[in-house]
Amino acid sequence: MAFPLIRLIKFSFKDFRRNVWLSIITIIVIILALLSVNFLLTLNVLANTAVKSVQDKIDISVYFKPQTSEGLVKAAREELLALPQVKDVSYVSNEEALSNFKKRHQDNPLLMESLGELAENPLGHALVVTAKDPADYSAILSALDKVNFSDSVQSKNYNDYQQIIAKLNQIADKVNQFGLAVISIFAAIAALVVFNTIRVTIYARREEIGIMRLVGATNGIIRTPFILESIFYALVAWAVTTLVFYQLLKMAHPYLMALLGETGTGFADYFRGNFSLVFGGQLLALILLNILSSVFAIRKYLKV
Amino acid sequence: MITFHQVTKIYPPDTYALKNVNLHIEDGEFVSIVGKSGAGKTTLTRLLIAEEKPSEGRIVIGGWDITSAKYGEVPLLRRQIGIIFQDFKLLPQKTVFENVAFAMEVCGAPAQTIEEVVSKVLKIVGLENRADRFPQCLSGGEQQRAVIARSLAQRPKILIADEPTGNLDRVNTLEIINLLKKVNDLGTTVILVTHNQEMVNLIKRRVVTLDSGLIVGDREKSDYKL
Repeated sequence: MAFPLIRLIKFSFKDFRRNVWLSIITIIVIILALLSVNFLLTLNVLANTAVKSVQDKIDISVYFKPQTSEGLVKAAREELLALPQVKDVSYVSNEEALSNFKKRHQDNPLLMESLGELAENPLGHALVVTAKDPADYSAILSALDKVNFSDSVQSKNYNDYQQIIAKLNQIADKVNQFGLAVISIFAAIAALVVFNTIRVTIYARREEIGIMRLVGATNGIIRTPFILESIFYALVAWAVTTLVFYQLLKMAHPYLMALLGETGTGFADYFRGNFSLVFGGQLLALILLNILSSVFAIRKYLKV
Repeated sequence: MITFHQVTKIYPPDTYALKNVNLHIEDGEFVSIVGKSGAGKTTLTRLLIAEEKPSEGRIVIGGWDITSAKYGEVPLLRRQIGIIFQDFKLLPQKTVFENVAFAMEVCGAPAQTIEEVVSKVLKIVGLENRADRFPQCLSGGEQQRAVIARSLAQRPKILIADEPTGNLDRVNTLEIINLLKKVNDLGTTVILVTHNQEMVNLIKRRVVTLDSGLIVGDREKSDYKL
């Protein structure tokens, strides 16, 4: 005779009600642990987003001699795009370069005056090269010395953020390590609390379990309600945490944007794009952890 | 049919609870197992419900050698055997009806069957008017009748009553004896474990006497003296 699942669920709800305060405290502890995990995750995402945004700023500007034709520069662009390390090459015409220059130095009247005295645009066309990986820039720089158009190149400007990136990476790694350690501690706390709750529930139900054994209830029927109870804790704690965390993120978003600028956008994008992965993963991990805890408690304290 | 073949139970290091016990109980029999405290009565009960395994020998119930029963098969055996204890073992937070129904619920019986069977067995034990009462609102005799009802709900082939009247006065004891006889008349094998001489003599059925783990007497419908 197949045992009705609904009856097992009913039994586990009875356990929940029987130790209602203990059950609530268990759920609160899991929620606090989950919230802490999520804050650490946020810190981690922020650190990684900061590194990425600095990495995105790295580029090599290749300035061509003023007399170089637009056609040659565009051909040079194609040649650069063919390099395996190159992600993108953007073309900046000499007019654009001049207007950028003027904008940058508009507070310098002397420079503006001397620029006005020139009959022709003193600037040449330029190409801005970005690499697929920050480590590829040295390879691109040396490739630039060997390309066909190297005679037409007046100068190269490499915005090197390597030191900042190295420092940021170091911080991000430390945040990762610290985060992992703290997450492990919180996971252990949550697991221990569930273990203890199941132990107390087994103790509270000892008479009932004794009768169940006497009348011929199978081990599965005796044990399953405890496992269902731990899954129920996981579901409630996860739902509350996700809701609270989502609201907190929503509230903090404008401040983060104001504070972090572009980094803030990357951060918001991360949570938007990975919402189901992050929170779905947490739910799965939490259910597995709770099942493991309850199984350990059952094996240790429930003699069937 | 229950058969004990050369059953010995030793508790470490060297306490013999039962020694070479050979016993045969026919279907539908009413057998009283008697003896002083420590004679081995409770061990015999625990062996019958596979709570423990014999150190030597075999126990066969209805052709099934329960000494070689696997761990997962024990619940199936227990559904065939109703058991009643001196301390009732009723759940205080459940009503009489719920206590009886609980035994069926945990064995997976459908809700409608539970409803029908519980009402029927409560009628058999005379508790149909006490169905909504909690155990603490019942007399000792009524509580024991509720336990019998719970055992009967499983429609067991065997009913083991381990000192069922230990906590009861004479009037309630007589009630329980009559009820056990009634259950036996309905075709269930009844094994009564007791040291109550008066109770056994009132029943006037087969009496098996245990002493220090040995069967020292096996009489049909005779008077018994401890």
